[in-house]
Amino acid sequence: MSAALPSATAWLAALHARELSARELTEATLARIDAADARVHAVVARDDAAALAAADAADAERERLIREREPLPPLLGLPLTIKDALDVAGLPTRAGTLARADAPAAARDATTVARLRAAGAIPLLKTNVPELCSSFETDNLVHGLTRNPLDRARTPGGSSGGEAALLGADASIAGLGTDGGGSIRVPSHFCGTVGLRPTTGRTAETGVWPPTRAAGTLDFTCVGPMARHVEDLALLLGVIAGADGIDPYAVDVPLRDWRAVDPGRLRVAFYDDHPAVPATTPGTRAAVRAAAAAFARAGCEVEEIAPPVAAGGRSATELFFAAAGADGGAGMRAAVAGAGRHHWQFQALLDGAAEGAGASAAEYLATVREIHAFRAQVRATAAAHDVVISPVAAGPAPPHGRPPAGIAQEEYLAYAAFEYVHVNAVAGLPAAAVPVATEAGLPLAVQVAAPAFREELALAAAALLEQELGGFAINRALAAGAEQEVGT
Amino acid sequence: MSPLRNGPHDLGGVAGFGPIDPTPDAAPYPEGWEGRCIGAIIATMARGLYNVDQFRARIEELPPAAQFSMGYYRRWLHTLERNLTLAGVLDEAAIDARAQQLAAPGEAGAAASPPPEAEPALAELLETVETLLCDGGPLLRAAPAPPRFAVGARVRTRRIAIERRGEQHTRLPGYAQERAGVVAIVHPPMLLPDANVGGEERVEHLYAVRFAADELWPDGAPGATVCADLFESYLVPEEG
Repeated sequence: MSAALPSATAWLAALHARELSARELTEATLARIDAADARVHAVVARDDAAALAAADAADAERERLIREREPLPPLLGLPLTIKDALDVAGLPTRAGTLARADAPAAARDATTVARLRAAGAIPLLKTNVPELCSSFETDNLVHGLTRNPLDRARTPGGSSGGEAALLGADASIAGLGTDGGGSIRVPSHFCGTVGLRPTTGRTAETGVWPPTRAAGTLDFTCVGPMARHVEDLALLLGVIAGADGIDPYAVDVPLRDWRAVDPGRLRVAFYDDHPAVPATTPGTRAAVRAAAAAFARAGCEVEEIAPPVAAGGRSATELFFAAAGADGGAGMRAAVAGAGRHHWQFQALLDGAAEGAGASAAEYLATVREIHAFRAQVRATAAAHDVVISPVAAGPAPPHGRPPAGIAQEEYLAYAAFEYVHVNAVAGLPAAAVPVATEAGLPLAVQVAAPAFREELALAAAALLEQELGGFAINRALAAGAEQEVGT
Repeated sequence: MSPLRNGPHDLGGVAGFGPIDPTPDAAPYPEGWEGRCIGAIIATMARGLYNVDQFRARIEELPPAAQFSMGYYRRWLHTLERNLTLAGVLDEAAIDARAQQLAAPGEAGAAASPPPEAEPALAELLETVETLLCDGGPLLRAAPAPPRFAVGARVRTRRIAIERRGEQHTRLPGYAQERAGVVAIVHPPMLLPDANVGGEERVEHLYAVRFAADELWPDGAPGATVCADLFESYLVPEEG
């Protein structure tokens, strides 16, 4: 099975053309997810009867609209999976904490989920996360460990790890994740799938649990699309983008057409290493250079640049954690009050936050000033080009409980491997992850960042890399290889 | 999580570490140095350079990330170095310099080993170590007073907060603080770790206290019980 199932875009064309019904696609997707879930353990909540009823309603609605010569909504009948940090009406949002083990079903959809539903999509089921979405290892005490579909001994990453695991198994068609500090890009990288962290403010956070806008990280968290094919990222982003009148950071900025971008005219910058990362693997650096070479072949201007280092001396990772922990963990403790027990990675975060006992207002605002200065610096570099290519992490997916290659075990919780994704999170820039290479039999993605609100540039560049270097086809080739190994 | 936890080492209620993989015929010290680390700890404790509670406290001072990810013997190596530094046997600069020498490639690293110093009382030390290994540590003491609680007594644990990790130490876990239980066994009196960590010899009776599991954990199974060995000063009589 080296060929992937059709993209969401292709399934929609088939649905619109009445080549298959939403019920057939939903039943088939549930069956594929069931088979995959036996290996990866990613599904945390589902209501198959409601999903199938929604599929039937979509099929009836399509017939009515065609009869009445009305336009079809863009996602009519498309089943999608949703990270268990986003409210889906009728299903609980547990976010991996025992404090919410018995949480009642959400009464209404998160803004982005509501927009998918209004566009005709079927929110099918919810996928696993680390406790409070606070780790790059998707494991918690409510649901347990989610595994990488390409190697069960390894993590699919996090915190949108359940999404990436089902996408990496070619079971989910596409879905939604959230990315505060890499939570879409890292699991996409580890599982050989694609994901887009939109520009800060591009999507509304309303209905994400726990809410983060009043936390030290302010506007870092973005809801974004995860998929197997770049065109599907664009498809979903177009539906979920925009202000909702509630999230104070979400704004309406026109989304440009990524298909109108001539990828051969992109101005490309890249860096393949960062002084804050102890050791980036040779394969990771080669992957960035392979991407740069692909742009050069396409006729692009390609320039190697110095990795961004903040003037204040703190790395993006340090700025991220200084902001996130500025309240001494008070927000986290309130969110998980009554949990009784915690996963050790989350407990270590709590213990670490308690050590500092919180920043003073003056200290926190000094951190905010540093963040804004860094943001201006990284944004100026992005604005001087069209896309900036960098690694996603220091290496490919590590075994469970271990940091990526090159990072000492003691640094597991220092997150030093993830400076690359923190750079664009702190800068608030759009950044896609797209697979371009392999190392030690595992997929490697690169990160494609673009200027603020220029997602179309990141998507066009990611699509070029997908076409030239493989994208999800790399995942399928590795999966086929793994099956062969099992067979022999 | 119980808000009464005293730090990352206070592990009760922390989970998700994954399954234990016991490989019966695996080498006990896969990298070799772990065995020497144990040897150095036994030898230096036998010479009285630090006691078992100081040994524990200096593991507990490690920050959370290190506590959870260093691994067993790396933590032991940390407490060995810290205690020998506090005892004035080593200094941090010397440890760093030695580590850098050893890390130097090839001959330079190997040649860096200094000749062993003459050990004036080696025979005596070996005898102490043998006693320690065969008979255990000298923690039992004569009772200063009769035990305050009898088997069947209803007791409540106190709150014992550790303000300065690494200097203070208690054997009362966070999850069992401010909880009601019943005395199940009255053990012989022993040195109180909370005082011993500061070098003070205070003797107290030790009790096995039985708690209902759902007294300790919100999701404890009804009918299940948990026993903890707790010192007399951790306990007050339960009223009513």
